[in-house]
Amino acid sequence: MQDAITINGLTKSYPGTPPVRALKGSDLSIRDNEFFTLLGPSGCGKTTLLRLIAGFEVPTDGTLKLFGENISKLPPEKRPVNTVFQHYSLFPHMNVLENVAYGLLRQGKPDARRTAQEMLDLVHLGEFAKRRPSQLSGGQQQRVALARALAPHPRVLLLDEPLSALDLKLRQSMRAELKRLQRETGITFVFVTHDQEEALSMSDRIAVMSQGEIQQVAKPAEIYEYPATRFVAEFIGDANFFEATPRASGDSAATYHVSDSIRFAGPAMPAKANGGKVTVMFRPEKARIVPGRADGGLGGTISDIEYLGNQTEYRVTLDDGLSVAVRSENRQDGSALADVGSRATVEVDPEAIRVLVA
Amino acid sequence: MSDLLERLRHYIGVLPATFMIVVFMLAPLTIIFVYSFLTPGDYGGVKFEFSTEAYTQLLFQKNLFDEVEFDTSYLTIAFRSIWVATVAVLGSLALGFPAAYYIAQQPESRRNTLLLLITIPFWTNLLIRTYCWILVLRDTGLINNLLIGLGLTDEPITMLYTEGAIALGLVYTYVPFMVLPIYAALERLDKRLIEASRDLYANRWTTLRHVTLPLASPGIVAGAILVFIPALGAFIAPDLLGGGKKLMLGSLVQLQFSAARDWPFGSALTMVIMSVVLICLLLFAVNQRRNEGGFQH
Amino acid sequence: MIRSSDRDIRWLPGFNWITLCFFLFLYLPLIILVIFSFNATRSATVWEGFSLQWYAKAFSNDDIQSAAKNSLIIAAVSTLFSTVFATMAAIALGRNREIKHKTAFGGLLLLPLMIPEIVTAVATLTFFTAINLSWGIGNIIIAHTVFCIPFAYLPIQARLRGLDASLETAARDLYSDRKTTLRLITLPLLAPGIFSGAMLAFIISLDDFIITMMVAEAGSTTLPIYIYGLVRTGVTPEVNAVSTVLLGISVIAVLMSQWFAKKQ
Repeated sequence: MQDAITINGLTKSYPGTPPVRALKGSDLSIRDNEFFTLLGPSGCGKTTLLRLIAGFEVPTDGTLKLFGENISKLPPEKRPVNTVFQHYSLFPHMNVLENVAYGLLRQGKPDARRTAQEMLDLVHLGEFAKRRPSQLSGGQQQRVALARALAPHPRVLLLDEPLSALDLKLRQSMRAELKRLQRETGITFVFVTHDQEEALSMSDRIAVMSQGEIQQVAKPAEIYEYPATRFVAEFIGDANFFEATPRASGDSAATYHVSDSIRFAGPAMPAKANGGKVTVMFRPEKARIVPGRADGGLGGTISDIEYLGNQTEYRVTLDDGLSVAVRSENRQDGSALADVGSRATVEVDPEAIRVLVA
Repeated sequence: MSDLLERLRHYIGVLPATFMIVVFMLAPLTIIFVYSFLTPGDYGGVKFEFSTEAYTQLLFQKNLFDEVEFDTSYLTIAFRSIWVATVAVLGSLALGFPAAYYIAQQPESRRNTLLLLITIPFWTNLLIRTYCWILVLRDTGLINNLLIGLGLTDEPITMLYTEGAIALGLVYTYVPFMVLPIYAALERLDKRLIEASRDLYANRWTTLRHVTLPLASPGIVAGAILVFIPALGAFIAPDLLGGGKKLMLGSLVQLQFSAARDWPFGSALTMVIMSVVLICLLLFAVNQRRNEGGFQH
Repeated sequence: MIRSSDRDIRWLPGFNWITLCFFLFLYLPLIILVIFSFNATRSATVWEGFSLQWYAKAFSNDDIQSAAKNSLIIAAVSTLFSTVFATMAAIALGRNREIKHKTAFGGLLLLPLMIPEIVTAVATLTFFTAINLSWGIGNIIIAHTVFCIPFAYLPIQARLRGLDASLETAARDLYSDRKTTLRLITLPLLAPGIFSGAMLAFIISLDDFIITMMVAEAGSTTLPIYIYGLVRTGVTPEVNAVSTVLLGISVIAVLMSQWFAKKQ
C-alpha cells in the first residue's frame, strides 16, 4: 500500500545570524490510515514539520510527497490536507455550522450544509449549529475544530497539540474520541504533542524528535522498551543511565563494567558500538529492591523514598557513590518495603538492560 | 526585471498611503525649506533669487538709513511662544499628574470610563472648545459676572486677551496629551513597589517623591514633549484668547502667508518651529529608549 | 469620587479633589456652551428661558447651509480615501512578510501626527500654489486625506494586531486562496477597526480648521471657517447653536468609534 506522506531530506531554515535550522534534512514515511504522532519538547521541529505538510511554510530543501505526488510547492488551499489548530482558530464572525461548512463551500462541494451538519452530529454537537464559537466551552470548540477539519474529508488530518488547552478530565475523554474518529473516518492522522502519555496511549506509531532531527520512529511499546537513543530514553519515562565499558562480549550476551564494583550482565553489544564506551540503561520499575544484603545485586543505602500511590520510588546510593532509582509495588497495606537509611540491594535482570550507543 | 516587478507587487498595499504622505506632506515641507532661502515676490509667492534675508530678518532689521540693526521684536515673539508653551506644560502637569495618578488606581471599568471622558473633548472641535473659554473669561463672562454678583469686585477683571488666557486655553486643549502617557506609566507601575517603600518607613509623600515620581518620569517627559510641540505652533488659542494682540509663532507664520505676504520669512519661521519639533522628537526617542532599557524588564 | 474606607495604599490626600477639578475644567466650558445655545435671549451669561430659536435661525441661514454641505462632502470623501488607504497599508504592513523597512513605512504613516498643524497648513498651501493646483474643495479633500490617514490607520492597525493570524492560516488550509481569505476572513474581522478609524477620520476632517483655513479658496467655506468668521466679529447665539450641533456630531462619532473598537 502507498504511504500517505513521504518526506525526503526535508529541511527548513529561518533567516538569521546564524540561520535557525528548525528541521535538518529529515526522512520519514507515514502510512495510510495510521494514527501517527510527532513527539518532542518545544522547539524540536515537530510543529515546523506539521506546518510544512500543511503548506503554511515552504521547505528550504527536500521533497514532500502526498500519496506519491510531490506537493512541496503547492499552497495550502491546493492540498487535500486539513489542520486542527492548537487554539482551534474558529472564525469568530461565523456560527458553528458556517465554520464547519467553510472548507466544503470553498471546494465548491454540493450539499455543503448537509455534510457539515452530519459532521457536527458525528462530534455530538448537532444542536449547536447556530451558536457562535464564543458561546461554546473549550471542549466543544475543540470538537467544532475537529469537525471543520474533517468535513472536506482530507486525505491527511494534521492535529497541532489540540488537547493542550483542555483540562485533564476533558483531555482524557478527547483521546478516546480522537481514536474513534480516526477509526471511523479512515483518515490518516498526524498528531503533534509534547505529552508522552498522550503519544503512547493514542498512536499507532510515534516519531520522537529533538533539535530538528527525528530520533526514532516506532510503535509506542518499542519506543518505551527499546529506545534508540539516550534522548528518547530520557524524554519518555524515567531511566537509570550508566557510562560503561563492554567486556566479555559474546553473540547473545555481554558484561558491562561501570566501575570496579558495579557491572551489569546484558544483551550483546550493538554493532555500532565498536568496542568503545556505551550507555547502559534500565527503567526504575524493571529493577527490584531487596531489603538488607543479598548476593549478586548492587549493594547500597536507601537515601530517599517517594510515595507515588500505586508505587513507591526508592533512591539508593550505591556503595561507590552512584545513585539508582527503583520503583516497586507497595505492600497490600501501602507500607514501603524499606526505610530511609537502611541497607538494600538492587537487582536487575539481564533482560531489563538496554545498551545505547548514542 | 520581472523579479523586480514581482517584489514591487508586495508593496502595492502601502503605496497609496505612502504616495499621499510623501507627495502632499514631505514634498511640501521640502518646498518650505527651499522657499526660506528665496526672495519674497511682490504679491505673495517667491522670486527665485537666493537670499538669507528671511533668516537674518529673525534677528536684524534694516533701519531708515539702510543700516542693519539688532532687532528683538521677533525674538520677543519667539520667547513669548516658548514661555507660554512652557507655562502650558507646567499647568498641564500640575493638573494632569494628580488626575492620572487618581485614575490609575481606580478599578478597571471606572478607569476606562474616566479615560474615555478625557479623550472625548480631544476629539471635539478645537475652535469651539477655545471659543467656550471666551464665554467664560470675557468682561461680561461667567467668572466676572460671578465675581461681581458675589460683590468681590466692582469692575470686571480683564482676563481675556492676556497671555494667561492663552496659556489656559493651551492647557485646556492639550492636557489629555499629558494625562495619557503619565497614566500609562503609572498603570504599569507595580503596586508592590509602593508597598515595599511604605514597608521601609517612607510615608505617602516620600514614597511619591522617591518611588512613584522617578518611575513615572518617562511618562512625564513624554507628556511634556507632547504638550510642548503643538503649544508652540498653536494658532487658535493665541488668536481667539490672545485677541491676535499677543503674537505667537503660530499666528506669526499664518500672518506671513496671508496678510503680510512674505512667504520666505514665513518659511524661515516654519523651519524654526520644525527644528524645535525635531529636537523634541529626538528627546522623545531618547526618552523612549532609556525607558525601554531601564524600568521595564 | 471619594471613598473614605477601603483606601488603596497608593491613595494620596487631595488628589481626588484635583481630579474632580480637572474634569470640571474639561467639561464646564462645553456645558455652558450647550446650555446657552438654548437660551431665550442673546445673553450667554444669564439664563432666561428655554428656546430653540437660535437653532431655527442657524438652520435657515443659507451661508451655514452651504458651509455645512461643503464640510460634509469634504469629510465624507476624505474619510473614504484615507480609510481605504489606511486599511490597505495596515494589511500590507501587518500581514505581508515580504515587505522590508516596515518601521520606516509605519513611521511615515504617522508623520502627519508629529508635525504642528500650522506647519502642515502653510506647507500644503505653498505646495498647491507651486504646482498651480486649484480644484476648489478638491484641494481641501487632498489635504484632509493626508492628515486623516494616521487617525484611520491607528485603530485598524490595533485591531489587526489583536487578530490571531492563525485564523487566516486556517482559511488557507480550508481551500481559500489569498483573495478569498481577505474577503471572507480578514476584512470582516477587521471591520470594527475600519469603522472605528473611519469615524475618527470623519470627525478630524469635519472639525479641522487651520489647514482648511490656509488651503481653502474663496467659495469653499466649511463650518469651522464660518464659525471662526462669526467668532471674530463677536459672540452671536447662532454660533452656540451651530457649535453645539458640531459638538454633538463629534461626541457621537467618537463614542461610536470606541464602541466599534471594543467590539468582539
